[in-house]
Amino acid sequence: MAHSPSPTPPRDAPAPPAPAASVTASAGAPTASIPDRSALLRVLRDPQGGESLSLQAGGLTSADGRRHWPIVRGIPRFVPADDYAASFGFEWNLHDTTQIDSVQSTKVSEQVLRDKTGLGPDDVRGRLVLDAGCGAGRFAEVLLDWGATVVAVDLSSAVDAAARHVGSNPRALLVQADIGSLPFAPGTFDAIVSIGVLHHTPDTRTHFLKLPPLLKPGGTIAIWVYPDEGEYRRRLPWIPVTSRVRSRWFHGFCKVLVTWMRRHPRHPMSAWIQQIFPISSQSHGLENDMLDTFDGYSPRYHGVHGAEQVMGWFREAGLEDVESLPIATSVRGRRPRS
Amino acid sequence: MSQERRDLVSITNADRLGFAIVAPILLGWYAWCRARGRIESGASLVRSLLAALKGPSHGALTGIVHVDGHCVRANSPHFLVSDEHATSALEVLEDGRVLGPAHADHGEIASLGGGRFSHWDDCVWFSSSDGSDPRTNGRVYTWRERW
Repeated sequence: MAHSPSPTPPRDAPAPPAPAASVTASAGAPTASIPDRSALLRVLRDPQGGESLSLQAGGLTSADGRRHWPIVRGIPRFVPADDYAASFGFEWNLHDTTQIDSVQSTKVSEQVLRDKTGLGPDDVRGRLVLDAGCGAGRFAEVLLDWGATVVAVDLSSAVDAAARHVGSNPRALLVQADIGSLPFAPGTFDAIVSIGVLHHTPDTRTHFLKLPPLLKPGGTIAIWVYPDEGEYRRRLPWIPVTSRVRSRWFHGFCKVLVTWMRRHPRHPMSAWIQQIFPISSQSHGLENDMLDTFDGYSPRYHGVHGAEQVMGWFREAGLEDVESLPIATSVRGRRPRS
Repeated sequence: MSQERRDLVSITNADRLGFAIVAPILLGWYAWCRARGRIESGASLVRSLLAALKGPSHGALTGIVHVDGHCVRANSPHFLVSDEHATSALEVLEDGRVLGPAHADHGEIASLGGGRFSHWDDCVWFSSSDGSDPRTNGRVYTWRERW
């Protein structure tokens, strides 16, 4: 699903995050050399050729000068629009704070990150971490709190929501880009996390395989994708319709439905609906359940996978120390040191 | 809770419009999928609708027979939604006191008793609270739906 580079001028008043004259950098630069945002920009490369980029005319330009990517509201944009992820742009800009720990005064996102990656502060402190599919930035915020330097990528305009939470942190770089065509050099990151994202791409395996080469030798990658069971499987027949309904209408539908079912959990129709059209019930409040129900049905792609299948992708990518974590289809692996 | 936060969970007319547009689409899609076997479910829409229209009901447990261990079985009206069809909202009462836990495994009802019960297949499988035989302990066993 490679995107052609955008030839369009910036969509908004450009505001480069740093006044770097050039963003050339060698691959695999040590994290110690990324003290601020201007240096962090150096990790960006031409998604097609891999060459370094230069800052010109409020955007980034390829080495041959033929391709230009705008920087809009401080965020480099390597895709022209939301593409198939438009529903994510809608939901994360509407529910931009619903799952943000610092706003909700909870540790829910931190716990989810720990459970689904097996990572903790000691694993990422002082490291360069890629958050592949950042949404509104719930995990990027935790990683930053843990002391990591974070490059947070999303295909959708959710990056604008993420910018409201982590954009001011000098250790954070937000990028709107496609996981299938990421603007980074091989061997750039110490760790990569991708939680609940890859199953929303056109081909989960293919998009996963794009990530391990971006790890430095010895780097860790941890992902979680939808398991092929329970409500994840029961949602499948609905996706062809729910993903095509206008986001605003479907969100309204989810609000009314979830609210009614939460008020009448034992009503016969609630029980029937829950069996054929399961709604989210995560015990994190009504707003979260509305968001999660919308999130579960609105994306165009909805892959479900088995743990063994996911571990097979890790081995196919040449990763070692591959382990399946206690939460189904949470898998972690490490790139060999040599 | 800020006004902005309240607005995210409060139902607006725009939300109702969205529901009014989307619900018929999904019902139509459900009918199409059911006709082609793309959605398989033990849940019965007709029975759930009838139960919803009828409203919560109640009655006495009759025709009690011994099954195994602590477990006895009684008939329940056929119009009720049991765990076989979706999720039962039935409560079983012993002299007016609610028994439980509900939705219990039938083996556990027999081996552990303690008021465990299950609503399945137009029958209620239950046990007394103290291990006595519900057929002879002189207590009154009733059921009611609680929505």
